[in-house]
Amino acid sequence: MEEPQEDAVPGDGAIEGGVQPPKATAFPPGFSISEIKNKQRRHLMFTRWKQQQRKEKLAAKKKLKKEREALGDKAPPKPVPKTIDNQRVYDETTVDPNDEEVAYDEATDEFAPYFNRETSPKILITTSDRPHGRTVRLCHQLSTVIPNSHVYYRRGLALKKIIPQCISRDFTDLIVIHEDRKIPNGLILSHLPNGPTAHFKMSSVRLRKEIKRRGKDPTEHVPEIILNNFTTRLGHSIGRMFASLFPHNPQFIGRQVATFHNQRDYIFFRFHRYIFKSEKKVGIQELGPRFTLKLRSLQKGTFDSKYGEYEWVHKPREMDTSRRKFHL
Amino acid sequence: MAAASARSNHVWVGTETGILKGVDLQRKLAANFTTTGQPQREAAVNALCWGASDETQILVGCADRTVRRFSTKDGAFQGQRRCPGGEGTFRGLAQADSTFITCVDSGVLRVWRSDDKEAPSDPVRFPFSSGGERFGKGKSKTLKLTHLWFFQLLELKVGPGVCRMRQNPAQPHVVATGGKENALKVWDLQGSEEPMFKAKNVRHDWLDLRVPVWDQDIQFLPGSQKLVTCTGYHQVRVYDPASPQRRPVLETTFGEYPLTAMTLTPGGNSVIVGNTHGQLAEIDFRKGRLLGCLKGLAGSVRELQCHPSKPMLASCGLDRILRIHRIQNPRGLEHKIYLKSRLNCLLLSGRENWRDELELPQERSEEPPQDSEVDELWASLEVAAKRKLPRVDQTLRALGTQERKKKCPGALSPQPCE
Repeated sequence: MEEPQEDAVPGDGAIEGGVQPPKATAFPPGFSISEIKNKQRRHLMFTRWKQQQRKEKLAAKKKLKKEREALGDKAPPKPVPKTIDNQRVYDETTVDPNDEEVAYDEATDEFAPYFNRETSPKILITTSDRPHGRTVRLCHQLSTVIPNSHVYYRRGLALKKIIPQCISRDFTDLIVIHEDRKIPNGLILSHLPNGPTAHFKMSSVRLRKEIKRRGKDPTEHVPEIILNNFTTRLGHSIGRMFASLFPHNPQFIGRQVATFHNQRDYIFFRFHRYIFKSEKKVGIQELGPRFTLKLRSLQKGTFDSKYGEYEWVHKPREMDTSRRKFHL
Repeated sequence: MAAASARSNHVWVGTETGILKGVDLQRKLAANFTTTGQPQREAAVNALCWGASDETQILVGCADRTVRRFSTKDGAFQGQRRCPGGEGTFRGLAQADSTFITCVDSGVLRVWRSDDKEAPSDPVRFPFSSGGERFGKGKSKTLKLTHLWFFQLLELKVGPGVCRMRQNPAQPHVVATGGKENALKVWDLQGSEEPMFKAKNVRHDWLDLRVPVWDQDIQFLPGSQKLVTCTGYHQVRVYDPASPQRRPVLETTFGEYPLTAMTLTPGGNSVIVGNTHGQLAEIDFRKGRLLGCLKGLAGSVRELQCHPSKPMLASCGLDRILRIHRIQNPRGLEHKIYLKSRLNCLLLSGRENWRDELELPQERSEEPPQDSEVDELWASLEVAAKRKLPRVDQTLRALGTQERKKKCPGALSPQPCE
């Protein structure tokens, strides 16, 4: 609608003052601001155009507001802005809570012993070989967050050799924090007896001392867990995997909660302490480490990246073509 | 009604939860069939094959070592039979005349009579040379003799770690087996107990180390004696028993992950292989060239099957989705159906006509008794059938199949080529 204005005096070096140059006609095609070769003049024209746009937008907003007030109760409801989450492409694998087949599949999958309360979690946390300070500190902080977890130094041992030993010592899960160039950037979560292995990309890692306005260190109480927005079948598997890291009965006295929030295929991990100030008002303090995960692959069976069968592999060129399609 | 819809299913898929699913691509419906009406993980489907008399029966091999018979006409399971012997799951199931052949993980290959009588727990090893002299007297005993004469060998030990057993579609008594550290062997079930052809491992590699063997899938090439195998070390090999060399005639590699499934294309010159990362590739086995890849799968491919004449490929895998691809002009995805459980094996109907042929066969069966010679009568009857079709369709849809997986319209419509 708003065509860039034509420069009436192209060769003139004088600064334009007050004169409104005529608008370019649609046909024959006029020229645009980007064709002005002089950078200063071009910048000036652009700033002027931008100010014009802003003014018009403000005027339109005011007009709309006036109309709404004039109508009062009869005003049409405010239009909901489009966001990428709103516009998400419907995923056919979204789990319907009433679906019996999916319910049976979940009830008898590899996490069934945990959800039937036959086993209680025992986690082994380790790193890739020769970890640096940040990674080691992250491991220790994670072990305070996850109850019944043990940190071991990885002495260059192969994971395929560690796993049978873990199984014989009754560990239920293995977490490997992978490091590159002195910062942790990957997470391998393997459910032990014969369960799936998930490989995540880890980013935005903040250790405790880097978190502003944090609370005191977490206590030994078993935290509660919040799993947000895991809607598809794959999301359900990953959600169950996270849930099986924590023991069943949270101790509400501790008022601690671990949150895994999935948004647009990124999983945000936060650890908070909450306090109810009244019936509806809660105050929260962030404790504990904070990081973001993105699923790269889910492999059936324990860790075997070369010969294992994959249930889901992230393929960027095939799966990331649409900005509105998410898989978790 | 379930019977009629079951007959027109194009693809039959076996899942890990023990459900046999029939998918009708024309009407975009999937139906679940179970023996007890409830899914059972212990009865996970491991092998599927067509039963006798073309595509009206399916033999379903389950994880609890039973083979169940399913009739597509009735849409129900008809009987089951326990097949003990050896350990592990079924790796191959095939039908030959009035018997069926099973092979399990530990390498026990058995031939069973398919007349639903309970087989003796240890099938009798019957050396055919001395068969005549053993039962000389007594009519009943000689009858037993003639009954067992079909297959002289009822049990074979193929070697441990079997990954696949396939039957030659041209010669039903010839089967091939292969597995992890178990070389490819071709057996003639009517012949001796030694394999007809036993493959030799390739030469040592450039470090002079033995090349490991892991045959994951085998296919017989029609029109010759050759076989193609795909291995867990991402190799595709062609063997020729007719040639004096027991080593593979051709070897190519694809990708870096184990190849898990393979099928022949209708053109007859290439195979399509799938690996554990969900990559599908068409490889020409005359030259060993990669012709192209197919996109779409996100999980490990469990089974592939091509239609014998149309350029259609059905693939199923651990990502719980059945996909139908078009192989040529243009190459791309046609149908994608979410089937809720991990899919283990599939059977693609090889019939030519995939359109709705529901009412017409029933109408035609009423024709001969009427004994009409007039062409107008034929024409008018066909017209009546066409008029009936929409109403019947509606009743079918109203009755519904047991499982309707679609909530959102349009998701099952043929997807544009990816």
